[in-house]
Amino acid sequence: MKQIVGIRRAFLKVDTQAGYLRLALCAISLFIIWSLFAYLNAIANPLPSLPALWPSTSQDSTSLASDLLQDILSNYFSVFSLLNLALLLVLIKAAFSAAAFLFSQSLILAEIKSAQRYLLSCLFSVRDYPLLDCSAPDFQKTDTWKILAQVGGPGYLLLEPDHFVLAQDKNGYVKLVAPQDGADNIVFFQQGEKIIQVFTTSPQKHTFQLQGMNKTGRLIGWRNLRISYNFNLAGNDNQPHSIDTSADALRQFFSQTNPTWEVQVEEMLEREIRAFLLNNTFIEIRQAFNMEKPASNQTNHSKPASHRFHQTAHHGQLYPIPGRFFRWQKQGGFLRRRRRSLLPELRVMPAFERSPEPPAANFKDELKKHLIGIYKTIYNIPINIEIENIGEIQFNGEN
Amino acid sequence: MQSSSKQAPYFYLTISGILILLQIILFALANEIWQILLLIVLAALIVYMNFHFLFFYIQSDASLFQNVFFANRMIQSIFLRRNACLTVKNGEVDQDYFLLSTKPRRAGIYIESDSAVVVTDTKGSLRSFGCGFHTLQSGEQLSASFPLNMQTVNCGPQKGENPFARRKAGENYTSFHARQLRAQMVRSLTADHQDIYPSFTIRYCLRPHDGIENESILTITQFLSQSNFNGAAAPELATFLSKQISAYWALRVQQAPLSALLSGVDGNSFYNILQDINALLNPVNPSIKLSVSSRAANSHLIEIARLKIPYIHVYLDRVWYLDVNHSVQEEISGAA
Repeated sequence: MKQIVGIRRAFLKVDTQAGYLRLALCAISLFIIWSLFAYLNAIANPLPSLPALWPSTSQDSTSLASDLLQDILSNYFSVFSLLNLALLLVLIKAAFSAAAFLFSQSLILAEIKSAQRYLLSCLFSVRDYPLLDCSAPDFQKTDTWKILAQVGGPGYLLLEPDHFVLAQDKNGYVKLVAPQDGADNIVFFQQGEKIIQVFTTSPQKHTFQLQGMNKTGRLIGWRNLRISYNFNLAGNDNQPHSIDTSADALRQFFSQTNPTWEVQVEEMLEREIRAFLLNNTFIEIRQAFNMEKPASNQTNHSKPASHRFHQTAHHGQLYPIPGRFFRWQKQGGFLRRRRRSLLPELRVMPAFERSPEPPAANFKDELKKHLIGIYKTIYNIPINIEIENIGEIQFNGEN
Repeated sequence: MQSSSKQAPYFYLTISGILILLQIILFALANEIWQILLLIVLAALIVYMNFHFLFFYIQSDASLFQNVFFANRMIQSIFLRRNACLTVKNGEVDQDYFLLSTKPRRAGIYIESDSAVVVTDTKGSLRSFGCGFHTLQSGEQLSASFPLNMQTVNCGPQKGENPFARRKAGENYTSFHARQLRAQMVRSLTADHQDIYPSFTIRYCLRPHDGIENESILTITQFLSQSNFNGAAAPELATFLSKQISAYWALRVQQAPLSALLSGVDGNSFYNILQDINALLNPVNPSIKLSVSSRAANSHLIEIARLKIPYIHVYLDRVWYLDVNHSVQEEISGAA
């Protein structure tokens, strides 16, 4: 059984010469089958009541050769032979259309012609293999993309010079493919090789307007943070055709439902920047952005929200304080200075608030390091990130 | 897009039928019964052989049985005007497969590259199908379908929602109830009895690293089948992940007062908790360090880690807590 599968695979392999050979074999087979029908007509004459369609020559012909030719042609063009030949051709066409219909229906192609063209190009090489121009807008919505992504090659991909293709080979392994030098930026996909994503290695820029929160839960607005990024595949320049670095990781990263890969990268960057903010204190961020504290907010913002005021409801149980102090407080007569003198232990703030804040490290570099590190450790993707403009930070409406 | 019924090759099949009928009539007139039988057999053979050759270019590893099966399905679908096979796209099966009371005994399935399914047989054993055409044998049925692309699950109050807010004027009871449910799912109490409502984004991907074996979807199906679940697994999995992560968060938050969480003493900041969640969810990733305080309450996340999800990462989007000094309930901290 394996031998039969192997023979079939070898016979049907996608190759221009093999396609022409199959076309020639089909033409020869058709002629042989037609001859068989003619032979059957001559020896058995299954439909004797119907005349031959080949016009007979003059009755007084005495040449043996012409009689023989006349006889052969009348058998070839008998109703039986032609009817069977027509039936054979129609059946072949019906099977072809049915296969194309199944193909088109399953892949939800816009036109059945795309499926027919693909099958014809595979079978006989009489049509050019599908060509996908990646510079065209919405090229990922075309039938050719669907075929090359779902079923695979044969097919050509016309790329921009700095584009890479993430592809899956016949055995399910993922690889990165770049156009070869001198190949006019065209990449050929063998049968069964599928496209996963097309992306560029040239730097992409994006300006973020994001909101997050810092370590102490304060709302932060971050405007005009401009970042440029690009995938770092430069180490493989000497062998540009097939690069295996992080291909699996890239596949997982790119297998998202976002419209474009750029949106995916930017979405991930935004999430990671928010995560970075979450690990920074108010003071660190202020120092990084050289922000002066507004005089009106100095007291409130130096400690977290829950420490801004002190709760006195429990004092009755915890401290032997005369009740009149709290009555004063309710009447508005309880002075903050006086209370502190009474309850010195309450002035002790936690260690993290008292310790002098270290000068903020280079915030830009820290963020860059964090993002590159995250991409390397979590996603296993080599990416270069440059922070072009650190932007402006806004805390709860203040600049 | 053309409708699929318009693209169906009715013309060629009709012409084939007419020609065969004509042949049969002519043979019958000539009293050649054996030739009629021969004609029908040969015609069928030609159709199947051609389909077999052409199907090689659609799925090169398809067996002869699969080819014959799909050719039959194709012919049936053209005349009965229904799809030749079930299609699984983005982790969902079309034609409401899981809602059908009488599921098809034998069926063809086409699975797109962004999906996978798990099939169970009468003995209860499971096997997974990846991208391509497959056949469901007699007695087999789909247990669960999975999306393989990166999935994003939002858990907790949505953007612009205040979990502390009462029902607003004009807000209908359904949306109010939905808002309350979202908030209650993630509600947690600190050691000093302060309410905290986090909002998470969970991103996970079930695509296997090696691209061939998909162990995680079999494990997840086994896990889901304990609660007699079958169907599109993504919503069920999202609920499970949200529930477990929220439970872990609640346990961690319970161990520290709000001030400690906000200041981050003893590794109790929101950031630390998030790091611990990600470390516990990805136990094989050595780059993520686990804090000491996380080890007490990790049973919820171990449940998730057992599913062997190839990629999972949790992000904290927002946290709401009540400022004890404000008499009016309001959102103190909210972002994004």
